[in-house]
Amino acid sequence: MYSQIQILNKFKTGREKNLQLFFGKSLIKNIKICDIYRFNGNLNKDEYSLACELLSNPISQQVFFKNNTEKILKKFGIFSWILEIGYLPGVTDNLGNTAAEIICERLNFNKNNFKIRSSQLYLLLTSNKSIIREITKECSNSLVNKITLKTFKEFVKGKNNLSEQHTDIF
Amino acid sequence: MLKVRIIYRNSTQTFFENKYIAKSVNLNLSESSLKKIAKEGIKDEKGKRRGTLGLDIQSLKAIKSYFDIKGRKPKDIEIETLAQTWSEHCKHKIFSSRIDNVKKGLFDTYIKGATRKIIKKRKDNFCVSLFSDNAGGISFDKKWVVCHKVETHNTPSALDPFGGALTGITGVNRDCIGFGKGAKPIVNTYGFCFSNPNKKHALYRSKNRKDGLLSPRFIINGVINGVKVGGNCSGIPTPQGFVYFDDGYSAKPLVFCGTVGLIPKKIKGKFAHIKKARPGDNILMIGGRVGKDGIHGATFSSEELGTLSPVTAVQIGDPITQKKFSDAIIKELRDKDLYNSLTDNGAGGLSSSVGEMAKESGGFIVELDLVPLKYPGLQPWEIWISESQERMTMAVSSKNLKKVIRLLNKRGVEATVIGKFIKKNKAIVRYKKKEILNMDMNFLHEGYPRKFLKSKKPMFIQTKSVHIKTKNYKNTLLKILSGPNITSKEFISSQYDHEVQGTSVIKPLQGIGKVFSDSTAIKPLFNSNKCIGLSQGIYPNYTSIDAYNMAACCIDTAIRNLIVTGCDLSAIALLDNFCWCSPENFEKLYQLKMAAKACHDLSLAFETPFISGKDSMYNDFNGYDKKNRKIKISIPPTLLISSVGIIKSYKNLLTIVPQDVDDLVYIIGKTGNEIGGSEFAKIFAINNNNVPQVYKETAKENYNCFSKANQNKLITSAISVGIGGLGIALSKMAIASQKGLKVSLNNINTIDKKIDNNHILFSESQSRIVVTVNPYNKSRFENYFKKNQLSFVGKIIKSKKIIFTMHNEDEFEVGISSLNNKYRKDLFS
Repeated sequence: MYSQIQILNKFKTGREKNLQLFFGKSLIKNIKICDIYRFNGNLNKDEYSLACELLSNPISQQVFFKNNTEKILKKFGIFSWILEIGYLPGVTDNLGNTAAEIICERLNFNKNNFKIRSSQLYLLLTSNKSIIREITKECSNSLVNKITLKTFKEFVKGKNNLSEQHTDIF
Repeated sequence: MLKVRIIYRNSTQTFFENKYIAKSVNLNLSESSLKKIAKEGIKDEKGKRRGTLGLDIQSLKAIKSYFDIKGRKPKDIEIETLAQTWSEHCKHKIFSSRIDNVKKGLFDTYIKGATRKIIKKRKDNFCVSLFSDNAGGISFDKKWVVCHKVETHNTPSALDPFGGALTGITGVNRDCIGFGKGAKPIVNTYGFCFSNPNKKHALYRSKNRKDGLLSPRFIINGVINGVKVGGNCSGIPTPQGFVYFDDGYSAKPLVFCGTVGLIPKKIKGKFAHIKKARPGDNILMIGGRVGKDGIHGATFSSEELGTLSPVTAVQIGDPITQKKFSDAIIKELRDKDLYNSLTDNGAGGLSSSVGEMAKESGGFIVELDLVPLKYPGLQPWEIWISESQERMTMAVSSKNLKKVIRLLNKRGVEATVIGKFIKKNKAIVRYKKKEILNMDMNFLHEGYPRKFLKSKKPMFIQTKSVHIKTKNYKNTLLKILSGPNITSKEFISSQYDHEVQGTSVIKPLQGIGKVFSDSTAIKPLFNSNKCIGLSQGIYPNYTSIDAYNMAACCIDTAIRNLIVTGCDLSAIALLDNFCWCSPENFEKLYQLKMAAKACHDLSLAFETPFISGKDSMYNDFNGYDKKNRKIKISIPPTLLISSVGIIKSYKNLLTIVPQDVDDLVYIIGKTGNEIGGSEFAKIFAINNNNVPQVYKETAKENYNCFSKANQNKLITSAISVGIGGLGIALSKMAIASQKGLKVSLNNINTIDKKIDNNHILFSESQSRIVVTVNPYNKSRFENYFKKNQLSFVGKIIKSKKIIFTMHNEDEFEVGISSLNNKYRKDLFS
């Protein structure tokens, strides 16, 4: 059973380039930004495959899941920290709502029962932990965003399940 | 007894079992306790304050007196309702109160007053709906009406730039959908006032470096993104806008969002701009569900940003949900005449929308249990005042109710009957079969105490007229061109879809050099040649020197920008957005009075009516710096004048792009030593009080002559001379066309006898237009203007440079490639 979809861009996106440029390559040695869609229920394998097809572009994007996380991420280099930025409960999540609508329409799910929360995962390689505070400031607003930080090892070990609790990382 | 039939109800709707319903609040308290209630709110069950009411002591006393007569204490929901309805955001108390000798208030005397006089004078049917609806309406042609509204969303954007700006644009879209029986949003406009993105400041809402303000860079990115998502995801083009930078906006940005709509003049024989909820009509809430988002939005936007600013006031809009009901209203319901009235659920939520609509019928009864919620746990007062977005309220007769709900459901729009409009002048809200709100409609809307405001003329320090002796004109020109207020805003326009709906004619980037346009135009109907032109005028830098002339320049610029696009003066309407500071500052209040007076005088002189407006007061920040020192930052008092005009035919449209080599270059209007508040003065840090003045009569005459010459196809391109002055206007023409210019400025018409070359190049004297004319039309064109108003200055040349000749045989030339580079300077570097 699958409870989330994780999508990674195969190529470096403008956002990744901009962040690296802004902070400098010496501070952010490597960066990948990944989209996460978490469901309020579980999908079976067929439903999951269809949902992945609907939410990702097979040419430019790569879907990864529990068992192949390390293998897929290796292709993009080394990372030391994982920063997740999502929305606090009750805050409108347009990306999540739209994803839910797309899946409900295709899989004939009840729109009122099937919900998705979206978030973004920043995979970072930096030797300077304090720079993560600056990246967080640059990419999130503590009034509306839920922020979670893990080491890459913890992330891979935990089969990429980040804590559901809001964590004040600093 | 009200019987409400639940037609549509979602199966997963959860009703929380809350023992709490409504509590009585004791207002028989000392002034200090009342102040605490006003500032921090009513205590909840746990003794915690709920958040600002934004009421003053006099208002709380008025509430107490009213309920004393009724023989009971007010309930919490009643106080919360009155706080919303009487908020500065909803009632515009500063604009409606007496100020000094302006007895009827600034709005009635100066803004509405000017329009009243113009309507009387013009005797045409240009104005259709003024100041009474969600937007203002003007006649487009025999069959259609155009409505326009510009809103501000400043405080929410300071707290959450993305959410604030997104809610701003989707909110003003709803104002347009809620105009009359429902106008289709056809264009969005935007305007942002930011602080320098490259400056780092450390400002905190609380002591000890807590609750830090967001960086200007974060605010800029978030706001730009918010308007992009709101416009692009709703399928509404967003071609027209501006960005202005000043460090005065470091604690609070200004975010202006506007929408233009189109509505038939008549639907089934009835005027579509007229709506009226009737007694017995059902109150139908459509769109999204209600959550805690946006609670106290209206009241906190009426206060200064500080420690007590509630974070629940932050909302994030959902353009997809809104698009569904927008389509359902415009495409399914409106033309079938199935409802009697509708309005947007914005500030104050249901309390405001139902309360406003009930004025049309008499009163209302609402059953709060019926309101669909996003999640359980909301208290009745929260349901009633929540500003959850993407909702509208409709008045539907029982006869049409089933049909309306079926059509809305067909488009995936949730619709719920929550009560009825009644004839009796009563506002009644029930929850769990108990009456929790019962007030007279008259008290709800008119019970607030009127203020008597006093202003004080600021001390005027006359500074000596300073002359900068630098002759390095080229460097100065390039420096001004690369300043944040002049550089290209292509990075914004290229993100905003201006082609959706297929109506764009004059686009936001002009010429092969892609110059960011001051005005744009759309052709909204395929079967009509008529176009709609949009522009604006804004000069916050002038306010502290001379608020009257600041406002005059804003109006003149907003009008002139449309004139140069091909619009006639008689077909232009204006909208005002005053963003000011706390009225406790008497000098700022004086500036407000003078700016409003200028609006009256200029609007009347040009006969361009104000059709809508919105003010935003209390744009101040009270907080701390990193050394824990108390700090207050107020924005520079800012007036945005937006202009909307109907252009007879797309054939009259003009751009700023010169067409052919050898075309003649003229300047219409006079240039003066008016460098006070200019970009030139900013660069050289000159204190100069000589702010541009508007010579109304000559300007009006020149604009009319320009339009006549244009109708006779004598003009090939035109640019309005605005921020940065003549040097910048000529540079923009050269960049747009990638053609050179050879201009001699030593014989141009001037206001002052003696004029410095720097002032010729960079003074921001108003009412000037640079035009290019085909040499064959030279004498025909010149015949339209008085000699002392028209200066022939040169021609378009093949060579890719501008050659300037000025007094004292001063000469310089600048290559178009240098201009290109400076004009495209990265804002974030």
